[in-house]
Amino acid sequence: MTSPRRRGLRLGGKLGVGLAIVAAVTAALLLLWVGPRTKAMFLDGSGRLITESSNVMRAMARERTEQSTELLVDLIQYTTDARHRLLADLPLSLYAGGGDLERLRQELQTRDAARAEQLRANVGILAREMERRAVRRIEAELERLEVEQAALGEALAGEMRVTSLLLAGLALAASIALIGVGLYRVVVRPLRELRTAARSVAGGDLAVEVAVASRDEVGDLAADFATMVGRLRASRDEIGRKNAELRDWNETLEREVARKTEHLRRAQRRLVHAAKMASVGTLAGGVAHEFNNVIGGIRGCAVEALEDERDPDRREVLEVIVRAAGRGVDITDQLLRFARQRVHAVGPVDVARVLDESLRLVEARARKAGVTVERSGAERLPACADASALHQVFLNLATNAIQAMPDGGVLHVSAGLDGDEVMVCIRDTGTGIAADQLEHVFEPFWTSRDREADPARRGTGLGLSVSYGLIEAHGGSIDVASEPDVGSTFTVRIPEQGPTSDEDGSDDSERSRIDD
Amino acid sequence: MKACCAALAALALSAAAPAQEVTRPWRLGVLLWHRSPNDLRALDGIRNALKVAGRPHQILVEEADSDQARAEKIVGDFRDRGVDLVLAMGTEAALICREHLHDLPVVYTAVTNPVESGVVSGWPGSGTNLAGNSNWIPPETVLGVFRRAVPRLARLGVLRSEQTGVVSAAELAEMRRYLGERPAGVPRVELAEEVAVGADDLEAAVDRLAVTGCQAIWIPIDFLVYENIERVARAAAGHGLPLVSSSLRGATSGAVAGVVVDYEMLGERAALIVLDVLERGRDPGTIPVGTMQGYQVVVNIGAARELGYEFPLPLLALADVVLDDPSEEGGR
Repeated sequence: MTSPRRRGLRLGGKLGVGLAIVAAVTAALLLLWVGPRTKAMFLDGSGRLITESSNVMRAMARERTEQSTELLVDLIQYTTDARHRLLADLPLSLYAGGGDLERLRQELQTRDAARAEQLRANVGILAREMERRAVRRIEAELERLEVEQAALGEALAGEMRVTSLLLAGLALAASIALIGVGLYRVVVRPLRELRTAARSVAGGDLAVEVAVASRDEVGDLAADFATMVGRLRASRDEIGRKNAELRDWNETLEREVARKTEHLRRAQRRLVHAAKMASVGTLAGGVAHEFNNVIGGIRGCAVEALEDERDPDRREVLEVIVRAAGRGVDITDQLLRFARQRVHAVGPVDVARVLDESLRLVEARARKAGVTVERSGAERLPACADASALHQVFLNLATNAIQAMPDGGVLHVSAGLDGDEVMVCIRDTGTGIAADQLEHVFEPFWTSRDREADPARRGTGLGLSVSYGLIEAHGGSIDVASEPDVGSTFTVRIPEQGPTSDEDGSDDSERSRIDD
Repeated sequence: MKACCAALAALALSAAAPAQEVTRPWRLGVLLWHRSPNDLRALDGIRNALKVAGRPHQILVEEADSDQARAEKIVGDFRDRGVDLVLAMGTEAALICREHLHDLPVVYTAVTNPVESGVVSGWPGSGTNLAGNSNWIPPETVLGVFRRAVPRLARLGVLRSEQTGVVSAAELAEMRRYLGERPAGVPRVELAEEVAVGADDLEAAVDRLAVTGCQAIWIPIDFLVYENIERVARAAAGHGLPLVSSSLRGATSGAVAGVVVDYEMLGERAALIVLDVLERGRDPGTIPVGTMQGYQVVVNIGAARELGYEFPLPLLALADVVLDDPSEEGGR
């Protein structure tokens, strides 16, 4: 069980830290650069506005003073002229005609008073009008100043906007760069590595390692991925072991099946052969026994006759009869041996020595036939078998091999251990056996056509079947492989430990191994 | 100062003249062509003067409502009713009297230019039964006031009518003569004239004047024009042009400034002529046309405010009549 990962700064935290850094830098820029710059602009603009306002007010005051002076001068002049015109227009005769100078004076006073009243009213109106115009002008000036102030404010705002946009742009760019770099380093690159690792895993490479050591969500993902790969690896190894076990079991099963099949085949062959052999043996035993008696009688009489016969011609005939009878005895002997084939004296035997002895017996014949005998393999092969039976088998096979090479050749004999079996191979470079005849070679009385045509090579056809039976009796087997005009190879196998009591050659130990 | 001495001298001479007693009240017929403020003020002056003079009198006021036939009938009635003298208020009344009244003395007043309008043949005297005075203001005085109202005046539009433009035509002619003979130092002013063919053409005439590039529009004494002064003022305001007037009606009804005579004093001076004729037996035809030296400057702040026109403060300071509210009148 793996220890839990220590949690580090998560992605959100990293992003927050980065953005906080950007915000701090932006705030610092604002404080250290934007603030003073804005303040300077504001002070400059405000100072200019104040100065302009002061100038305008001073100009207005000056103008008002000048206006007032001009007005006063103008008024005095106009009043004087108006007075003259009044006196010119006044119908004095109206007053003087009645001698009413007092009335004239009153008229003048009345007109003067009216004029003075008018002037006072005019002054009041003038003052109001001047005030109104001054107010309008001041308002206009204030409006202008407001416009300028607004323009200044707008300029400031514009400057602030530009600066803010610049800063915002810089901050955004920095944030984007930071986020981009951060994303690349914290997310994209690790995810690429994870992706590469995933592809490798998909391709079957479970030995891939992901070098992501961060302690954030991506690190967690990488750790989980590594865990997953580890488990996949373990599963694959497990599957591999299981597959290997299955293969072993499969191979074992196949071997057992093959062995059992071979056993069954052998058993079948043995059964068939045994049945044949049993039938033939029974027949041959009966015939040979009866025939042996007859032949024995004939031979006996011929021998007695020969002892007393002096005629050379008759003596030749009797000798032929004796020889033929002898041959008949041989045949009956073989038939009797065939009928009575079984292993008798099973004991520790050096199979290699028995083989060598058998080969010595055929050396002369081999030399005569131009056949080279080659011996290879173990020089000592202890086993539990019937030496006599083995000798008969080896002799028979060697003889057949020499007979198969009428024009000379090579007889190669090898002996060794194959598992728990002693294996002897006898190979010749003779005429070979046709493929359609191979299954019949161990049948009784089988001979090849060629052999039948050649009297020197003619036999009883029982040698191979007798050898087959003897080896089967050991619990072993004889197999033949041949190719016409190339040669034949007879392979003899017998259990090293000797035959079991079971006649079909199988034993309980083998059956139990297969069941296991 | 000189004027003051002359006035005192005249006073002394008058005091030496023998007084003539009137045994019965004078019957004075007054023909008003229309209810012109000028004429009404002048009539007030006549009444005041006669009262001052202590002459018993009876004034019979008849209005013609601008009707020729009616005016002629009034004149006939005056004759039939045996008035001693007929007072003709305004140019049209004077002309009616000149045509239809030959056997009674006629004293006219509030006639801007009696010679140009045909009331009399000459300024020294009519040679007929008509005598009177004029509210004529010299063009230099009119232009002087207009320049105070419109500084840097270079082009002055003139609006008058075809139907009632007799007086205004005379004013314009005098102004042209003055400008043509202007003394050195007097800035040049060009005049642009438009004559409206009727009341409905007044606004179009104003529009035509505006195209000439004038800086102000002068409304001379023209009945049709100042009877429709409000329309004219609105039309001029549409072009941002101030109106200046030489009539009381114009000055008080839409013009930002005007120069007018003191019609009351004019009437008083007309009363002197009446006294001359009836009391002293003077031949009206030998009496020169009386004129005024004085004038009144009228400033209409309300009209200026409505127009958005800011006229120079000096004019406001010396104005004789200041109208702050268009419905009010200032002055005496």
